Parts: sequence; C-alpha cells; structure tokens
Amino acid sequence: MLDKNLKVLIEYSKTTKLYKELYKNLGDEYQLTDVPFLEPAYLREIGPEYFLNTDEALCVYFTSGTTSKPKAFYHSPKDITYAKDYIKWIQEIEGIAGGEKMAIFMDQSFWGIGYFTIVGSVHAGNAVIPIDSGLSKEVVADLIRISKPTVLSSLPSLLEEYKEVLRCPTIRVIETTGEPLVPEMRKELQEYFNADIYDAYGLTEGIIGVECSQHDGYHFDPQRNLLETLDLDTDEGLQDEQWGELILTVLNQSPLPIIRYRSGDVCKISHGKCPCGRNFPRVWVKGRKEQTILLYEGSYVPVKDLEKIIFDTCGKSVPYEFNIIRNPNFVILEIILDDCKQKDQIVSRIQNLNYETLYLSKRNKLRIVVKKPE
Amino acid sequence: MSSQLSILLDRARSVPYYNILWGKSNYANFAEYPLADKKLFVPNNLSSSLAVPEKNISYYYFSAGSTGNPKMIPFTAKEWAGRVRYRGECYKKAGVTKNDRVAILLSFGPWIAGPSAQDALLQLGCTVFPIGQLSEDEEIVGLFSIFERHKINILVTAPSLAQRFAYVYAKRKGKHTVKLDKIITSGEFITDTLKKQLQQLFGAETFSSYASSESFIGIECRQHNGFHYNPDEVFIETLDDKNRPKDEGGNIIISVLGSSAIPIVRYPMGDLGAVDITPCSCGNSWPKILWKGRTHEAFSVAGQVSIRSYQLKDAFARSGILVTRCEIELLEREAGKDLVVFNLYTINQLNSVELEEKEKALENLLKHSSMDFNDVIHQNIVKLKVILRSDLGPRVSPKTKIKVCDKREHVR
Repeated sequence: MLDKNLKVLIEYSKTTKLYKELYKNLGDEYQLTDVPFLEPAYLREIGPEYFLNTDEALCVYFTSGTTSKPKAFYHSPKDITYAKDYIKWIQEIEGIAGGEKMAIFMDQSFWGIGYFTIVGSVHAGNAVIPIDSGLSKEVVADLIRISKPTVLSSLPSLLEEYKEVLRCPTIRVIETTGEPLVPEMRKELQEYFNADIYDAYGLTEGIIGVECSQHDGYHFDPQRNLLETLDLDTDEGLQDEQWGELILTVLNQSPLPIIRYRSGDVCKISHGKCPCGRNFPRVWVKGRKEQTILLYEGSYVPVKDLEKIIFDTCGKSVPYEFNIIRNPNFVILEIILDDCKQKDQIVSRIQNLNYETLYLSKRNKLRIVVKKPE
Repeated sequence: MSSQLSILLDRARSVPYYNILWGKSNYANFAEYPLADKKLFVPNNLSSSLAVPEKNISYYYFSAGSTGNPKMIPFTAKEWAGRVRYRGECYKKAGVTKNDRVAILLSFGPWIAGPSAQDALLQLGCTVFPIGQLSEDEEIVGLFSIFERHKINILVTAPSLAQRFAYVYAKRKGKHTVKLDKIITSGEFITDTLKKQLQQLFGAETFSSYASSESFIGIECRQHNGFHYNPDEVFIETLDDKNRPKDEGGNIIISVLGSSAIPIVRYPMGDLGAVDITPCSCGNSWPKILWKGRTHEAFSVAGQVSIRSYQLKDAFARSGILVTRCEIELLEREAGKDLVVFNLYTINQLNSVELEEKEKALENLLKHSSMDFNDVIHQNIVKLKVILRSDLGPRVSPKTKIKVCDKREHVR
C-alpha cells in the first residue's frame, strides 16, 4: 500500500516537466515499485526549465557533474526549513542541540552543505562560526584559537589536512560529513582531537542520517526520508539487513522532488532496536556500486569517466592502471599507461572533467601523473 | 536626540567597554560622547563589549584587525535578521525584485559580505546563487555557462572581482553571452571607467553600495551620486580631525541603531564623506552619504580588503628593526588583481644578507598583518613585495611615516 504522503508527493512532482515525462506511463493506481527511478544522469542534464514555476525565493547550490557541467539544486524556503529541522534532529541525537559554539569548517558557498549546517545549527540553538575551507592555515588557526569552539563540524579530509591548526582543548564533539569516515581515520582523529566523533551520512540530493553514541549505523527519520534497498543485479526490493543499492525518497515538496533516487551507494537497512534506545531505523553504508576513486574532500571520480578520457585521447583501448597516493595535503592520481604520448592532454582533460576536479587541481590538492610502467 | 539613539545609549551603558570609555559623565549632547574604537571588537575583550549574554549569540563573523587579533562581530539571531532586512531594503531601492536571479561573487564565512547578501536577497524573494570569491580564469569561464544556463540577470560582487569577471569575459569574446540588468558592488570604490566597461560588456547598470563588517550603510540610486541610507537604521556624523562636527565633510562616524550584541555607538568607519540631506531627484526621501575617500589611516586592495596603518605599524614593531619610512605602491598586476609593493626604510645598519633576511621576515609579518589581507594573498588576488633599504639619512623620529601611492588604472 502506497503511503498517503508519498502519493501526494508523487502527484505534486508531476507538475514539474522532469517528472511529468518520467511518470507519463504511471497511471492513477500504482505501487511504490511501479514508480520509475530517478537516475543521477537526469539531474545532471536538466536545466531550470524542468522545475516548477514558482514565486518562491530559491537558493541554488551546485555539485559536480561530468563535462564541466555542475548539477544545480534549487532549494525553496520549504527545503531550507526541512533541512533546518532535520539538522536539529541530527544534533539532538549527537547531544549538541543547544548552547554549543560550533566552528563549521567546510565550503561556505557554491556547495550547499556549509549553508545548511549553519542554518540548522542556529535553529538547534547553537552559535556558529562559519569558516570556509579555502582559507589559509594561518587564518584557520587564528579563528579557532580566538573563537574557542566546543563543536567542530567538518569533512574527514579537511580535519586530516588542517588538524594541527584545528586542535583546541574546548572541542568536545566533532561532527563529520561529506565523505566516508574510514575506521582508521576515525581512530586517529578521535585520539588526536580527544573528542567524540559523530559521522553524518547524506547525499547532495538529501540529508540521510547520523550515528548515535553507539556508532553503529546511521539513524534516519522515516517521516522525512523513505529508504529502500535493491538487489544490485536484479533491482528487486530487499528486506532488512540485506545489502543493496540505496534508493532515496525525500518526503518534502521541493521544487526538485527527489523520488526513488538511485544513490549508487551500497547499503543495508535495519528496523531493529538500537542499544541507544531510539526507535529510529538505521542504515549502514558499504561503498559505491559503481567503481569510483575517492580523490579528496569527498570528491569521487567514476573510473569509467577516466577510462573514457584515456580511450578518447589515445583513440584506442590501451592497458592502464590507476593508483591513488595520499599525502596529508594532496592526492596524486597516478595513471600507468604503456602508450602515454598524449599525457598532457589526458592530465588536462581529467583536470577539466568536472568542477571538483578543476577546483582540486587549481588548489594543488589533486596532482595527476601519467607515466609508463617501470 | 532621537528615541532610537537614546535606546542605543541605554543599551551601551550596560557594557563595560562604554562605561570605561565614557566614564561616569552624562553628556548633554550625543555629539559629546567619546568615539569608540576597534577595541570594541577585540575577541579577548568580548565579554566587556557584549550587551547580551553570550548564550544569546547565534553568529560570529570576523573582520580584519591586527596580527592574531581580528575583529570578531557577534550577532543575535534577531539582530542578524534586522541586518539582512535592511540590506534587502537597500537592494530593493536599487530596483532588485523577487523576479531577479542573482549570483553572489563575494567572500563567505568568516567574512560577512557573502552571507548577509545571500540572506538579504532570499528575503526579497530572489533566486540566489551563492558562488563565492572566484578569481582564477578557469573558474570564471565555468561561471559563464552557469550564468547562461540559469538566466542570471544580477551580479552582486566587489569591483575588483567584477573587473576580473569582465576581463575574462572580454578575452573569450563571442564564446558566451552573459546579459545582466544590474551589477551591485560593495567593499571597494568603483570607477566610472569600470562602470562603463561593465555596461558595454554586459548591458548592466552598476549600483555601488557602502558597507563595512560592522554595518551595512546604504546604496546608490539611479542618479549615482551618493549612497542613500535609512537614518532610522544608521545614524551618521561627519567630524573634523578634532572630532568636531563638520557638515561639509570629514571622518564618517556611524551609530548602528539596531546593534544589540555589541552596541555600535560613534564608531569611525575610516572613510571621509559628507551627509547630503537635499531631496534627491530619484524621489527617495532617505539622505545620502557622499563618499570622499579613505582617511590617511587606510587604503584598500582587491578583494574588498582595507589595510589600516596600525596593522602595518604592528607588523613593523614585530620585525625587530626600526622601520622609519614606508612607501606603498599599489599596482595592478592583472585586471582585478593587485601587487602591493612596500618600500621600507630602516635606520638599522644591516649588511646585504641581513637585509634579505629581514625583507623575508617583514613580508611574512605584513602578510599576516590582518586575516583578510592574508586571505586575498592566499587566494592569489593580491601579491606582496617588500623592498628593504637602509636609510642613511639624518636620524628621524622613531614614528614610522607611511605614504601610499596608488598607480592602479581602476583605483578602488
């Protein structure tokens, strides 16, 4: 039986050009499994003409997209209120909703995560110190030293890169988001900062959930998000505790509704009770369905995009190997190619692949080396 | 004295900073109250400047200051809402409507310009694209497609960034079509030449606005002859060097009537100007502030950064040598990017190796003389060069003389 709110959302979404086309064969009576998926490629290609004509104020943020075309996300006041409420809910689970001084160290423009964390934290009763990730270490050091935050909200890779200037005895909680926090890094950061770390999970398309003090999966609010998992081979719906691709539906009437969005993340869901005592279900993330390479600050590059560049540039299939060499302040993407005559062209095309690769290359965070096998 | 000023004074009286500054005197006239200074915003003294409990603060933004001691500007949620409402009201006076699609190319947190413009425009009902402070060619080229694709018709930015945007656009002539109705600038002075260039390239009328981290002040109307400001929001005085009222123009002093976390009473902006109360032909009843330049204590560089002489003197004092003369050349390295050359003279007898070492040390100290200066150097918007010479002339006063020579085509 389709949830009533979901049905309302689906009907509302049909007023957009995107969903009108996507749902043209849906009819009036349908089950959740009949509703077509929203593929990431649609979002990459659509322009503002695919959204509702609305008189509302809209705030537009971007994420990367291939061929240098960033995906745009239009956020209405309703979306901002939704994000504020959800972040407040997340901070309640983290035990930091109210009276905290939060240094929010991440991008403050272009990508929306910084803005939403700011408005959500203020809504939760905290004071915020917005610190852009493009600042020099000296400036970040001054800001932390002077403001003496009690909570630090950031990306794992930024914490790693800036850790010596971020350490401050007043910080008791670190909130991470934006990219996977691997256990080794969590342990290292926890010891270095002597603070509790709460990792939050989300996509640019929607906030998903947060760890509780058990640090075992991410609690999510089923009133706000509908999560499904699908078999990786057959797209059949899966039961609790089975690993499959996460499908996200954001239960909010946004100018760009997110309904059955294929996240590309391999996850499992459990409705079993958490030892923390909360009844909210949890989701665990294993990795990406598609083969990707994590570059830096939560930026991934799909392997197939790199393969296409090599194929297009060399004009034929050639043997290759990708290696990632991580340094505290940058990563090296090493491409081993037998035939690397056009290596400058390959480097340039990867740098210009999307906004994130361009941004990271310009700031010397991503270095690309093409070389012959030794 | 207006009731709003009385309320502001009452609020300020609860603050230790003003109690010390004003003593126990009860001044008969507002103009008799001593002027505030940057100590009002020194983070270490925050508790002596706050008029509200610290738990009531929602936002902390920052501004320049001296080395390691930036100005910290706290806001309560209500105060922030008031600030963005007024900024929005000013944008509305410049003809911005809810149908506009506005890109913001300004710096964001910890700086205040970007976030307050964003919230002001959202409150007006505009569609807002918070882009940030981009200055590299490839990043700007990427923006042109965004402007075209999303039909952006207004750009809110700083003159140096507008200049960079125009320069990169002109270089790629014919490859993109960016049409703008308006460009709203803040943070730096904009020349008529640049305004004309922006008009020719994008068809845009440029409206300059006047603001500082402490307060948004006002905006030009279509007459473009001064910044209209709402006297119910900001009370402005102009004073001579002895702090006496000087109607024909002098140091601009502001009192921000809605300031509550830190009450701002008689705070010098570091600018020269005059208040014009004659009716404007645009029909706006608000008075205007006519901006006449920076005081000798300050100069501006690309990226909306003001450098004040106390910041430089603080850096010199840390260098371990006596800098007797400082001649600053402001040059345009490329469109919208500056080169600041510090020609420094010391009476210390130094050999060539020591001079080189001290030059490097001074460059580092100057780079760190304020957070926002450090930021624009880090962003490659400004480059810094220090030339240190031994001054073999007659022994002079230990007080450093600072002279600024602005050689930029588009003086900001």
